[in-house]
Amino acid sequence: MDVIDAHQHFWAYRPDHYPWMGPGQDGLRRDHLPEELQMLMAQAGVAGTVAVQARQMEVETEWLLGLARQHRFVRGVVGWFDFTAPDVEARMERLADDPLLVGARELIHDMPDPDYAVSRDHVRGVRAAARYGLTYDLLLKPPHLPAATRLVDLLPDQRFVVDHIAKPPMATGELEPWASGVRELARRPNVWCKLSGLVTEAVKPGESLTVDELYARVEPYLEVCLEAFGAGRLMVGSDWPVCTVVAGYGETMGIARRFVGRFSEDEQRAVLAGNCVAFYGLVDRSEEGTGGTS
Amino acid sequence: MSGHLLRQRVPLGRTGLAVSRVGLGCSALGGVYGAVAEDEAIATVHAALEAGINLFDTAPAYGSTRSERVLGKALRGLPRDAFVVSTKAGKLTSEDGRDSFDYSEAAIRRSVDESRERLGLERLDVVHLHDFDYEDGRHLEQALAEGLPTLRALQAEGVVGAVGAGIYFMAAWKRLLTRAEIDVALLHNHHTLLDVRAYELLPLFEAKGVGVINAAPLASGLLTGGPPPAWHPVPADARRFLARATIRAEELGTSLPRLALQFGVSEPRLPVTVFSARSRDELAQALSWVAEPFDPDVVAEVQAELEPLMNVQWAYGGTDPANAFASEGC
Repeated sequence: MDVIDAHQHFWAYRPDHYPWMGPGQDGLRRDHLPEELQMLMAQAGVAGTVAVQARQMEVETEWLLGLARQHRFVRGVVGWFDFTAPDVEARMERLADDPLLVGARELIHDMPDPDYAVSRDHVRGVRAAARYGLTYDLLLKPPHLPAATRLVDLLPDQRFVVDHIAKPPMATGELEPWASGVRELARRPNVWCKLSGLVTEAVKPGESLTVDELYARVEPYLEVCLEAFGAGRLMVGSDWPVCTVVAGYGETMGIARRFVGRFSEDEQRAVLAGNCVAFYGLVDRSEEGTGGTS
Repeated sequence: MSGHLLRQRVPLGRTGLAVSRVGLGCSALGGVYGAVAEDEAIATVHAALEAGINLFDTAPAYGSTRSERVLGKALRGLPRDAFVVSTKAGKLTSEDGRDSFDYSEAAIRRSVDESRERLGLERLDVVHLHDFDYEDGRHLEQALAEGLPTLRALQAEGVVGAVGAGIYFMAAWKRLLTRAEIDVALLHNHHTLLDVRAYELLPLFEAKGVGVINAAPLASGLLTGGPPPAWHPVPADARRFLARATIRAEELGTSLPRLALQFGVSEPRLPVTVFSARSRDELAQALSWVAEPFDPDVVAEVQAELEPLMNVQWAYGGTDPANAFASEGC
């Protein structure tokens, strides 16, 4: 069964480019490039990915598109655009012809204002993305869920996907207020959810858990997502290389796949690949020449 | 189109059916444009009935039969003359979005039986043979030689009211209209802000007395002002023109979906138009829009932005079957 990893990153590491890498994430402070991921994917039985921005620069979006052109396992790119720029639409228009550009993302969860999602610039940027046919990745923590819900209500024709199930505190086992916030957001038909980044939030600093222990921590949260979104709006992602701080690529994907294993075959196909392809509008690259490395 | 017109009934060709000028397209209720909770879907059908709509268009393929199931639930217990159901046969879509096509007698009979079961109806008012022009025209012969006659037989048996076709490619419509008889046509994506090829077909429909249901005034999601659904074959390099049209419509004091709906329902020779809504709110919004007058100059300005996309044949389900016909010397 085809698996698409709906969320991974690439970077050529420079400390000033990736200031969000925190203590305990030293393993991330090196290059993470397609050749490495491709080996891990082959072992894990993953056929394709969506590469997501990790740096707030439009040159990164172009760089990711360049990597995607060379590596056909990269089925799409979620880029970053400067939503505060007065010419944000022209900036999107410049790249929008590229079928590999499938979405945009801004780092809402790093904004000090919990209502940033409905701030003027942000709404304008997400609306511009919608116009240019670009979906929008919602990178949230639980306090940002109410504003994100208001944003979705403002833009019913945009397609949104919640990254990393909105990062609930899985290490402590608390469900509220995250669960209520996710359920409310999921009532909007134009919001999907990535079962990704699961291991990162499941451990306390310095903790080392087995895969079974990680799964036990994560499962109650996945149940809430399944109940809220249904199998028709879930997709799976690794958040590689960020996941490697806690678990390997195969183990991380394995946690999501274990949860999905009890679904019907059709539902598994949908959650492991079909929903992601449909949400982002990923192009089929299997017919492309082998000019790239895959 | 003003509000009270929703209470009007117009004849659907020679079928004897009288339908409202706006119908509810139920693809969205099956989750084709994002998941819809069942209670909201049912409430949307009821809101449509209350607004005066009596025509509901669905298909087994929409949302892997979800659209038919939810419509059936919503209609259960209502008087049979309160609604007209138009559904389809020959195409199925799996839960993960893969299409399959079969226009054999056995498949069409099974499809109609299953639709009757899901919809809770003894008799289906209209059944269209669905998308038999997809996959490069390879199903066309079977559809015309086996699928349509099977629907005719089911009509004679009394379980199908009227026989129709719901297809897309222009060449397939022309071939169908010269080779076979249908009572109703479900004509989608040919009377929108970016496609007016309905004008080529209208004389053919008129000559044959075919009742036409005009569908998809939002161009299957291209004219909503948001990302088109992923299954839509529109290429990425069309994005800029859709974006410019969206911006232009707003500059001119309207919005792209609003203008698209108003234009979609405006052709007098297409008195019946169906479009989708995902919720009661969306339906109410759309109905208020179509009741408003619109400015033809604004349409022209927005269409100018869409000029590069005008009448472009999208590769729905494969390439244009016209190529296949050419090889047969037809």
